[in-house]
Amino acid sequence: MVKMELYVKKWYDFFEEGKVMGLKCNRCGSYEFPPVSVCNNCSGTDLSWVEMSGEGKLVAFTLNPYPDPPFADFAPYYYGSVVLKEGPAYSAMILDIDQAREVELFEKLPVDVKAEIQQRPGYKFVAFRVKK
Amino acid sequence: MITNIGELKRSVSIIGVGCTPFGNVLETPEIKGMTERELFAWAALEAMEDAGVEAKDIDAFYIAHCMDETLSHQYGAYAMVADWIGMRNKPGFHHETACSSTNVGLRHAVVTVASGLHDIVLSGGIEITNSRPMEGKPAHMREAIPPAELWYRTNYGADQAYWYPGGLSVASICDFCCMAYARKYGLTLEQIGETLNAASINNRRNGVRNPLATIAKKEFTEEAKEHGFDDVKEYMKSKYNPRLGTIMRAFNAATPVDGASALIVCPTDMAKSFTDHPIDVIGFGSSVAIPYHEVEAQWEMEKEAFAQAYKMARINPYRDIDYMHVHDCMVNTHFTVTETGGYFRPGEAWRAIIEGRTAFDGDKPISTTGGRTSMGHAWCVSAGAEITEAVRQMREQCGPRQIKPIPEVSVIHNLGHGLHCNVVVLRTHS
Repeated sequence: MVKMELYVKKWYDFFEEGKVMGLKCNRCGSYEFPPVSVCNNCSGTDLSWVEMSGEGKLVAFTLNPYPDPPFADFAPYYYGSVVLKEGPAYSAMILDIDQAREVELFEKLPVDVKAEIQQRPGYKFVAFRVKK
Repeated sequence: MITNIGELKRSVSIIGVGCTPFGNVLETPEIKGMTERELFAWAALEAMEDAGVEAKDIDAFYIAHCMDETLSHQYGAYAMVADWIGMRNKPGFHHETACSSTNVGLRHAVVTVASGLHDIVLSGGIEITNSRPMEGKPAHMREAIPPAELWYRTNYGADQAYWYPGGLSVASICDFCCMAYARKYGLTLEQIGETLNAASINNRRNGVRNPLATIAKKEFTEEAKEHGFDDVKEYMKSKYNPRLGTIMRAFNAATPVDGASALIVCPTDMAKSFTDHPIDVIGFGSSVAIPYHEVEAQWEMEKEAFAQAYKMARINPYRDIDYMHVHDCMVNTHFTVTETGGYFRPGEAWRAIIEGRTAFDGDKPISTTGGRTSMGHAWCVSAGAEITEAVRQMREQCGPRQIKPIPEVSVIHNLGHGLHCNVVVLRTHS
């Protein structure tokens, strides 16, 4: 019998508690981030909520000078592709990139980043900050 | 490859193609004042004329219309167009996979015929991207849609309500692929930028040779001179071509346009009775994923779709492909996707683009329509226009942009935002 959880609400509620959460498959051990109801590695449906380390590597980035209206107040910001320590890749807003040193940063890739929860009107979301 | 691919129960061929000029119904003389109905009827009737059939001969139709509620204030495209193409009381279906829709529409039509259900099927698409009907007014009374709003609504193709709130823009994807490619092959950001510009220059050169590409007025070399640049490469790096991100510039990105396209298929063993030049659909592949969470320039979802198509078509991509169209709403695909699809060896495509080998008169032609940057991007419609182009290239109907020798095997790759990848392999019937 299928037991469906409120995955989306839970993920966002965990941000309110300051936690970045993912799902770990109890059969094959791989992670789903952001959380979804099935393991896309082994098709297993027995998954458990786990707190993610928040550690990751930034592998690509881009300046986003003209974001969609809901993000206009963040503009200009960087958006990047992050490989999480636990395995999944995730694209997210990247904090602390110096526009004058884009080329330098590109040449250093991959660089360490750390998850950081951000506030938006009415909800929180996860961005990543480049580690010093 | 992870998908099980079987064989079609009978071979299917394209016997007719049609495509309107691409432009803006508020401005472009060729299509000015037209609504979705006239545009789709134009493409469909042209495809019927091309195939030598009438509406009464056609058993069923598929119509793609991607942002129908936002841009056309309706969501029943099947009924909107049925009478306009003479298909009243016949089976008609609306479908969409964003900007890959009319490539997928060909797949739907082929599967319908291959199953034995129907013999002759029409599949097409309609999109007016630059304007929408005024609220509560008839469809010809339109207002321009602000570009920022168009792109925001288009970005609904990504899962906006779940993971998207991180702030993705459509343009971000190009730079991610560029950086991954540059890192893999040791290129600088400047070299990657030059490659993007070379692909855009090539697209414009094709576009000015394509009468359906109304937005392509002059080649970039000519435009550069008008702005006082002797070197087109410098012009492409100037303020006239501003950056949209860290790498990609304005001319490397699609221009939204309005238009319609249509294709007609039938069983291969019937095709010769309609046309001297049937084009067989010998393979297709499809996959869905959220590749914005991928980290390589070559996406797993695209490898999967190409693998399915090539297995079904029984071709070796490195040896057998004469022409490839890649979905170039952002022209990085000219070097990333052409390598994924085996048109080039890994790491080879960027140099080929710089050297001009991907021109229509080069040895590895890409996107001879003018691409999404110079024929324009009509959302769900362009894939069908690109298949139409391949068919016309294979029939030697492309005049000043005709590929020589005439291609016999063509591959058309399309992406729908979200993301959906669809690949089709065509071969001249022999």
